[in-house]
Amino acid sequence: MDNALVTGMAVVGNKFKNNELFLPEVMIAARAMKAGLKILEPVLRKSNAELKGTLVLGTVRGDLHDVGKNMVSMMFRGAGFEVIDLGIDVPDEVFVEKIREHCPEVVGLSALLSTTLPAMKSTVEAINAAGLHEQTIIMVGGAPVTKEFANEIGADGWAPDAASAVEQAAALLKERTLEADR
Amino acid sequence: MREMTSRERVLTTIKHQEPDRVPLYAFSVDPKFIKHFGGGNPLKAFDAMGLDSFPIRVQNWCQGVPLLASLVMDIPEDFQTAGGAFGGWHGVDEFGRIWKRGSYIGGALKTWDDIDKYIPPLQLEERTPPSVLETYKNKYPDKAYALNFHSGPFGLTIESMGFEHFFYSLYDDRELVKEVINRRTEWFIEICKYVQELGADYLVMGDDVAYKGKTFVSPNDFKELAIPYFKRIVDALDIPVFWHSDGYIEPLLDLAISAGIKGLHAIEPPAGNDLGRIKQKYGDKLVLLGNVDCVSVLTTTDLDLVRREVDRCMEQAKAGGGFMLASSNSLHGACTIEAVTEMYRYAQEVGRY
Repeated sequence: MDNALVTGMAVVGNKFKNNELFLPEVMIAARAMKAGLKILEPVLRKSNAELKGTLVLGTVRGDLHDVGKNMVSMMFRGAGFEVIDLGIDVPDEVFVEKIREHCPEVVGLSALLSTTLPAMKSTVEAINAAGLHEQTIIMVGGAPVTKEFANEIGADGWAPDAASAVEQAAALLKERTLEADR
Repeated sequence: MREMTSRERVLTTIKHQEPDRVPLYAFSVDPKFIKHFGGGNPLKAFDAMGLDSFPIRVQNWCQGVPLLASLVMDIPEDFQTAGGAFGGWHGVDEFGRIWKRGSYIGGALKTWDDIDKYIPPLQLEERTPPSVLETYKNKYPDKAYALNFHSGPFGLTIESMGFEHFFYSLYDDRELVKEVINRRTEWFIEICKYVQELGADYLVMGDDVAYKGKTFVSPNDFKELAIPYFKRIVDALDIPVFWHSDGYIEPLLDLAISAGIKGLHAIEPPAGNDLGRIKQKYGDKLVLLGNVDCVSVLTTTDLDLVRREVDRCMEQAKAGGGFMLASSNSLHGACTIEAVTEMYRYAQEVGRY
């Protein structure tokens, strides 16, 4: 899995970032990855191969757009993460419930509409209030979301596109592991 | 220079000459502004906002509910999430786009058998009644009239097939994609020819092909799947054809010009477009319409910020003509009344040549 599928998707991710590939090619590659994973699944289960982590992902309450979120989902799957996709228009309490249930390393919040940015803030606050932020990294993204906004609402990470989101998550996870080791 | 009429101002701008001042334009206007500025009457609202170019609308329906339905009927809260022009759209529209509570969520056109189902009848006079335009022109004869028509063949094909299915189909069944684009182009041309006869001065073809920082498909795919169809539209009409797209479109502008596109809206700054750069490179070929930031400026009530943003647009694109001031996309519901009012007021003050 690591040597072929994950490495292959990393190449696709890089080429996507460099404008050598575009959304259709990424989708096709991700579909191939998914098909490959399905074949490998029994082998992976038998060998107890470890996933890179778990991502709980959703578009925040009031926002029904999912193209960006689906791209992020595919890129994380491609990088070896298990993705729990909560879909669109996800209420704060569902994010909180699913974080409790899956204990993900990363939570991804997506929004396309500037009118739903307050909902993104509210989700981060709900995760904080439930005492779950310490155990997970919160990442935000979507067309109207900026790095400044991410900082302002207390998210841990932001990325301008799906490929960068995976890199950013990996960097944040590494940072957190180093901190824990200190 | 003597004061020009709005129409003279716009037509002079389209000829890439300097009019008396920069004309004011809007592509689509949320019902909130039509209610605020015109008490629900679009014409009164456009006039009160100071627009030099009035939009001509082509009606679309989603299961019988028209665009801008909230101006003519009560839309229950349950039927709008984002509200706006699509408030009340819930179900599959005449093009095959799926809506939930006023938000686009996917496409229903999946196979060859679906094509006929989702190429709607022309219904020319129902979409743009001649009497309505006659009333417009009688009441406001000095205005320019733009056919702002957001049903361009490429973007609408993506939306009607759904993004994921469209992308897969480029590899699984490219001929299906081409046929849908082809049929949408034929439909689009017939409607535009009709509205041209009614008296449109120019067409702004809404066709979304990009998002923040990137185009949906590669320039090569765009060249194959959009450009020949854009050219057919341009060749079929006598009026200039401008192009509206969301997102970062700079890598596609040479291709658009090769198809005969004469103007560009909305040049979204947060998506990565640079108005000054585009003016410098394409200012003699494209009339530029934009690009007051409607994500982080027009959504505030910071009028100083609005004025600085209008100043930025003027500095980057006013010189030599060929520029109309507009928002960097639609005047959507999250834009504030204060900011929009100030944008158009201040632009009249600093837009003089």
